[in-house]
Amino acid sequence: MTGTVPLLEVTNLRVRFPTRQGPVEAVSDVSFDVHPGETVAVVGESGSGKSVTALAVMGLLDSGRVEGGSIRYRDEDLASVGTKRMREIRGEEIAMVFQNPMTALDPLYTVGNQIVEAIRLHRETGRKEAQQRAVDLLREVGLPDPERRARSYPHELSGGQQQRVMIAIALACNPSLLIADEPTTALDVTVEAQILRLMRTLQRDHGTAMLFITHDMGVVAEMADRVVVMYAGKVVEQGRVEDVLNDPQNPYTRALLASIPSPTISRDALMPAIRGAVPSLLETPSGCRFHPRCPEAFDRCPTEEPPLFDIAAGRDSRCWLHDRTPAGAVRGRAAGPSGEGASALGVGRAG
Amino acid sequence: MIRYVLGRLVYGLVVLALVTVFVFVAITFIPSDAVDVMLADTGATEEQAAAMRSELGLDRPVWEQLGSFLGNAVQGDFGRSFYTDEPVVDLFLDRIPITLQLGGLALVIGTVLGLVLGIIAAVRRGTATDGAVRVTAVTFLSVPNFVLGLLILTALGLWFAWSPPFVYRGPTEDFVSWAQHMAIPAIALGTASMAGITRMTRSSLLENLGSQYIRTVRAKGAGERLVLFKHAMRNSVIAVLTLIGVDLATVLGGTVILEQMFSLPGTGQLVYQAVLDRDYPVVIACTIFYAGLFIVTMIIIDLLYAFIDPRIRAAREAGR
Repeated sequence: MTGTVPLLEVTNLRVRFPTRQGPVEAVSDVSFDVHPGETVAVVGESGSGKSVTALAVMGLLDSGRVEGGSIRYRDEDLASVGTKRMREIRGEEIAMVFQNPMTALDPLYTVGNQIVEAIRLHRETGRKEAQQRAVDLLREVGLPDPERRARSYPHELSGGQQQRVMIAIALACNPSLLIADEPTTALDVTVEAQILRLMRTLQRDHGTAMLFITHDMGVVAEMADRVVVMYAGKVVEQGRVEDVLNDPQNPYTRALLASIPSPTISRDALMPAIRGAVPSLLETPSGCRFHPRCPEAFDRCPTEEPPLFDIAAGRDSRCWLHDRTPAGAVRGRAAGPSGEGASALGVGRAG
Repeated sequence: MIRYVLGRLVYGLVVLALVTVFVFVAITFIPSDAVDVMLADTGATEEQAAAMRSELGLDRPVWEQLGSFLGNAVQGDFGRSFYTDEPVVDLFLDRIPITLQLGGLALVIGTVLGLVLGIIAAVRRGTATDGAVRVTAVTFLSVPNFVLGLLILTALGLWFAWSPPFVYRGPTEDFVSWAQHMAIPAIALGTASMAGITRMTRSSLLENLGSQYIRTVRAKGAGERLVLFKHAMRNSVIAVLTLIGVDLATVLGGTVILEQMFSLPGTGQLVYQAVLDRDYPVVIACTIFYAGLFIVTMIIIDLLYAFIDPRIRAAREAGR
């Protein structure tokens, strides 16, 4: 897109978790990249594999394992660098902000101590100097009275303040890539706006690239340059944010966008929602994983899995509606993006 | 914080008073008293027995005996042994070092081994090592300390023809003899606490290692040693401390039997003999001392909680 070499390039990533019922694949064949300084949002419902993808990049999967594909960061494959190198990369090159600031800080140490720890893990800095840097970081993330705050314990701070501390920890060593896993989901709406603004400012000032995990299309619009839409462990659509939001190509993306309640909706009307639920990873549907919930599904969807169709430069969508080969041409054209009565048109199928 | 400690001390004194009253009353329900024991098989007459009872003050009603005991006790006079006529406090002070040595050694053995095994099991969770540690812990939890003491004694005697000394010598007098004498009862007493502490350390560590703040520490690029000892361990210590406090009571109780078995002249042996002899002043004084020791330990553990966890500190300072 930007013509630069990607900072992070995830290719055909597969992550499996062992369960009592056998291994489940939480992330299947996921590919995307993040260029220096840009923000890429990964969006999807719970269970779509977006957080697992982020944790896989950090090498912080608890019981899961990367079973295939590569996670290329600059010129190293993070899936195979080994724990020692991965430790050097974490915090120094790639940092992460988590969803629940209330439980993400160690309750027994002052926030200053926890920032100093992050600095001294990667920098040969004296304690005094690191403490000064911690105070500077707290000031930079907008905490009032940072000297005093550095001596506070996490329980003495509000959720928003705790998340600012988490951001300070993440920025401690000036990472090139910041992964934010739903950083505002646990916060009040007003605080959310402040935190998002802060992250945008810091990203601009430091030139940090950001991988932003969210389920909120509003946040995507506000934060990201590009967006990757995931469903049941697969990428279903990706492209520039304005293209995807203004002209969604995949029925799932359309359904997600349609689920955002508008302020004008009548109180008596049902909230728009996608029918059904994200399938269990133990029994992923055959063919296209979205077909049981898709309003535009037709007879090809349950039997064959659609590939990612390259529909424009930097724009992909995983749907049989895009198939322009002779086998799919009739179908693709006939159904169209409006998708009205797609299944009724099954008779016209060419092969 | 000072107010909190004072409150706890007052509370402790109330408990101590209740324990005293309870023991005093309970002891009168034991059939046959000191005089019966002393005069058994001597052919003494009822008149002689009655004279002796009145001399010892045993003919007075219980509440009156209790009243005069409490009156003297607050002045530091816990009475004299019915048998040797020595002041109970002196008897007690002579013997307490031995019991503290035994109990202290047992707690140190239990705590150190328990922490080490618990950490190993948690770090190697799901492996054969973890399994072995867990089986060991359950086994030692299930074997009573006196049975274990006897087993060790028998095994050493049978296989190595070795027996520990049975005459007590202080550690400054003859350290080797002291160590040999103390080793088996201390190990027998310590293993149950070891087993409990192993299990508590393991489960508490596993819970903390799976928590989100540990993920944050890892995301900073920290190694496992920092994760384990600076963060997970300190967060797990509170649960373990609580258990150590409870273990103190078990260990003190255990000294009564093990001192008897290994002929260690400590307060355990003193109280055991005193119960058999119905030597009430000794029994009561020992009980009060054990209860006092337990209460003081609990207060110390309570203070350690606040030292470790700033949230507990804050709650106490707020007077909640």
